[in-house]
Amino acid sequence: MTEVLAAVPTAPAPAPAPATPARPSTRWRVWLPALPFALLALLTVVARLVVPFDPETVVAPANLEPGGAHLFGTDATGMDVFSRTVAATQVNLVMAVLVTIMATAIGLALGLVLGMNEAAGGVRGLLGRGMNRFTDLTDAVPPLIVGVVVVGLFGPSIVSLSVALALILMPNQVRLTRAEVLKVRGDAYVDAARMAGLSPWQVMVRHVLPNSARPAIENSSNIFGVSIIVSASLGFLGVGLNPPTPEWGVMISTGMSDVMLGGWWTTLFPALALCVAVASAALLTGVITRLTRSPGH
Amino acid sequence: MSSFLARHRWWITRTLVLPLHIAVFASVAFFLVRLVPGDPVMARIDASGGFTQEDYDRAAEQMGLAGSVWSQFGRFWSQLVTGNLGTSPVTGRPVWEEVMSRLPSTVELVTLGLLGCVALALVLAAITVSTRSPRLHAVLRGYGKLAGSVPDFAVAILGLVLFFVVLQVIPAPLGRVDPRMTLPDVTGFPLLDSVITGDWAVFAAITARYALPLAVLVLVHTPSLWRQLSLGLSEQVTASPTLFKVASGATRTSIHLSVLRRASASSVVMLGAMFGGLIGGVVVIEQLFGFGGVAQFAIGSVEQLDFVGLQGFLVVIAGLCLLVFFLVDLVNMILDPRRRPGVRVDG
Repeated sequence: MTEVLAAVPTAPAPAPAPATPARPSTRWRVWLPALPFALLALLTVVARLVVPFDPETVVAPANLEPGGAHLFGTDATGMDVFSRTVAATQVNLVMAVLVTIMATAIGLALGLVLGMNEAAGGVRGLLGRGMNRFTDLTDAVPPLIVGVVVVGLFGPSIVSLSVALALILMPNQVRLTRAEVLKVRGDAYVDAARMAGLSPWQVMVRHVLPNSARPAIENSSNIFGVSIIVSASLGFLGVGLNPPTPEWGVMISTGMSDVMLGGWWTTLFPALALCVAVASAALLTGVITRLTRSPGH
Repeated sequence: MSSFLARHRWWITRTLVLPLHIAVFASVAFFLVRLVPGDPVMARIDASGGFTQEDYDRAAEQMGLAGSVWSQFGRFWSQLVTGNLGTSPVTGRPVWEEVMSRLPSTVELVTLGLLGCVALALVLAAITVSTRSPRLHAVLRGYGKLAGSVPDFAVAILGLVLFFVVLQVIPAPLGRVDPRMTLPDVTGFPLLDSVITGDWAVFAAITARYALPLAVLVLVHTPSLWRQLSLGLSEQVTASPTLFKVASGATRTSIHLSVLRRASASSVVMLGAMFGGLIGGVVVIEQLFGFGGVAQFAIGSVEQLDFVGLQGFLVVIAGLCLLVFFLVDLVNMILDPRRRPGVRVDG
């Protein structure tokens, strides 16, 4: 993993191979860091089909060491750690996808509306500026605390968890979009569209939105990684999904008591899976940034 | 007098805005807590044998939920202006005391972690600016990317498995000190208190138990700070003010300080944001190592439906974060006078 990370930025585009056309090789290099994420996404779809044991039932004696039929051992209740770790990709990644879509969609919409109305006079502008100050203020409550409060009070389910996380991570998207809208708003093509007789709504959706969405979309894989971390943290703190639902955070927290007794495997493997998932989202960020920044875009 | 006001407007206005921000937040915290679906009073009282209106009213009174939302809001504010956050119906102690008995230990851990981050970021930035070895740069960039994208508690678990289970060089993650020791209590900051009282056994015990969590915090959170710092440095190192300093024969130290001063604005903002994130985020690390921190009070309040405790906690945490943001703004306006409001910048 380190090799891939270190190799990508140092590799200058023209490789010393003049005979082959440069294009396919550069394209291949650009897409390579997205591979771990693609594999994870594939695993999410087929997770329940490929696991050797049912991830939610007791299948073997408790606390078996890794090896043999149970690749990652079994936990204190006798559930297969490998099956649970793999099956948890489904819960954790689906949640992260939901969060990313919601946070980005709401962030784009809100950022667009705020950016377009901020300079307006009267109530509209006042509201816009007020909302803007408020988004800045939301930084003052740590995301994890909001998660604990919302999930703790509204009850743990994939939906409430996702909504809570989307709310927490949205302000960033709003800020990014708003800043871009403020830049784009005065561009000539927007004026042209307005003079051509498009309604303010049409101008906003057809011309301003496509040209100001880039930063938020680039940031969305970041949001993806953060939402995996926060959802696992909430699970670890005991306000996440109820066991036996396989979820990395819950698996880690229930496994911690085994660590004291030397049973490291129930905790280590979900923690590693968490690292791999977040790191592959980070690699994807690099790919998206490179693609959107490349000339011709 | 008016010229004094004009010259000092930048920090006076910023200071006046601080209580306003805290007030807005206190109100938001109040309503956030009351957005809970269903009737929390009903969840609390034992309705199996039937209950009367008096039972209900008494339970609501106990939970601080008597009367309409607006009368509760009025009560909340009239207490808040006198610095009273109310009494927790669950523990029976004032919320301020409950929060303050836990907050210093969290602040200590976060502050030590951030100091480590600053030190490491400065060292890394100095290395990247002053060396040209592409191999070294690649290794550092690799660390930055990898560490910046991995959750801290997962790294802490790897550390625990390695150092506690396999190598057995660190004590069990079961608290700040050995269970047989008692923590001195002077200021509430555990490590500081052990120094003040001169209790070196406790100091050594805390240090041994802080080593891994702090190392993890520093390793995982430094890259985001370092990235801001090296962005700023690479911009400023060849900027015209630097060239002017060099040309006018300033000493090396003075040149370095000047570059650092101009480059550090965004890093200071980042540091403030990191403090805010960690005050809440470090709870996972605290739980992992058995340190009781301030966020555990919030989790307890949520589980027990302690509304008074929860809203008090939110007010204190938001107040603390807003105070830190305030300091960040002031530091930035001192470092770079162009950031003061009303200052006109050419170009």
